[in-house]
Amino acid sequence: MSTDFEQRLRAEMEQVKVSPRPGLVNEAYRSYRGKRRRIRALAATGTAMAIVAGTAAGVAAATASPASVPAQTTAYVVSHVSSALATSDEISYTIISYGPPDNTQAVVYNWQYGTRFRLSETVGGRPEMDNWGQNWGKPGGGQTLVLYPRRSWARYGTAQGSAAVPSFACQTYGTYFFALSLWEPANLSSVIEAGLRCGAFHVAGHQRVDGVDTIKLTGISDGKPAFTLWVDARTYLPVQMTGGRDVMQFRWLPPTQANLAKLTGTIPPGFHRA
Amino acid sequence: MDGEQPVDVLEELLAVKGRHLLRTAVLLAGGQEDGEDLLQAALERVFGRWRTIRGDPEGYLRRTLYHLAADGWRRKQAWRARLGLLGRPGAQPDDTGAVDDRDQLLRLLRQLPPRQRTAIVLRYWEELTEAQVAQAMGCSVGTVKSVTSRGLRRLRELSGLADHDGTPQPTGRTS
Repeated sequence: MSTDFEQRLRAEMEQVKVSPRPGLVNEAYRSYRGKRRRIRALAATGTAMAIVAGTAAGVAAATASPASVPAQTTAYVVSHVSSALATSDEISYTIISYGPPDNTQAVVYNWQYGTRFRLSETVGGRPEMDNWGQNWGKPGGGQTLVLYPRRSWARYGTAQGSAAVPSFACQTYGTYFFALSLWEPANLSSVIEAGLRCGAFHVAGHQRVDGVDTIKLTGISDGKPAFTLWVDARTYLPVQMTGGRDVMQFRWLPPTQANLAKLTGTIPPGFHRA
Repeated sequence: MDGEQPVDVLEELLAVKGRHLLRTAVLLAGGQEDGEDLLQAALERVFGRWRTIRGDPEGYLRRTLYHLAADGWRRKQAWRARLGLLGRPGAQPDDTGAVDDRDQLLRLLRQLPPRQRTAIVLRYWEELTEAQVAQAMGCSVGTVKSVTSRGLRRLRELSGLADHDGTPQPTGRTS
């Protein structure tokens, strides 16, 4: 690599414009204190503990007693999971936790039903984003995005964004899974199906997760076990997926009025339109 | 640092080194606003670990910045990914984005994966040795070499550079 190139790179780094924001330290301190308070408050009410314990229990239970489900081939299971995802008439509700359960952990809540979706995120228990809408990338579609750090919201049509799951190499599917799952909420099933088509999953036994008899599928990425998917042994719908420290939990909700209402968020008072 | 108030110590630190630290954060994050958010996230971590920090808080703050950047800190925030996909609503300009877009180097850096960007910024802006970068990023020196090399190659490609004229320019043309 050219020394000249490196020198110019250094010089250009020196030229990058920066304008320090006054009060950054105080802002960081307030944010840190706020997160601590929220974590403590949540822990006191048991909500946070339920989330953390739910995740931990899920993983712990996954290593517990195997269920008495007959052995099935990978092809058989994959075919049934694909079919279950394609024909399910329930609201898919997914909780994705990124990183260890501390005050920087991001948790994404994802609801999908037909063409409708909602995706909201908290970091350290604090709301960061809420995004809901329908028909992503299709005529007549639209969505609302609320950004809490910026105290703003915006409505989008369908001209921007893409409904297509981006292409990826099958051998790197595990690396991309958790990023792909955020790409287009209504396509979460497509993301899993893409992995199934890739042959990324292999049956690795039967286990109980959160009291559910499951079939465990191990995902191989770059030749190494990279992620694990547990599917309900009765319905073949996903129950939980893990990759590194990231955990994705699935819930399948009946489309009642109360559950359908969860697909729409609210714009907090005082937020400005971007 | 017993008895010292963390806010005062860090205010003082930023008063002296703030511009350099922010530039590092902006380069690591690939944009002014994201850089500020990255620096704020690192400061929050410092507050959280204040009682256990021995010695120089600047060193801890820098290491935290590097770790967060290499760890794909931005990627973990779903709303940033969503914003990237959605673009901007309507035709209303965003001043911050406009400033960033004018800065071709940032535009190029944003297109690198977090680890490549981190390695390049640490090597060529922070001027760390390969061993120091390896320690900061929690990987081997060999990995630093290959990640840096791939990052530089990618930067050259993105900037439309070719070896044929023998006069490489980091941010000549953008793709």
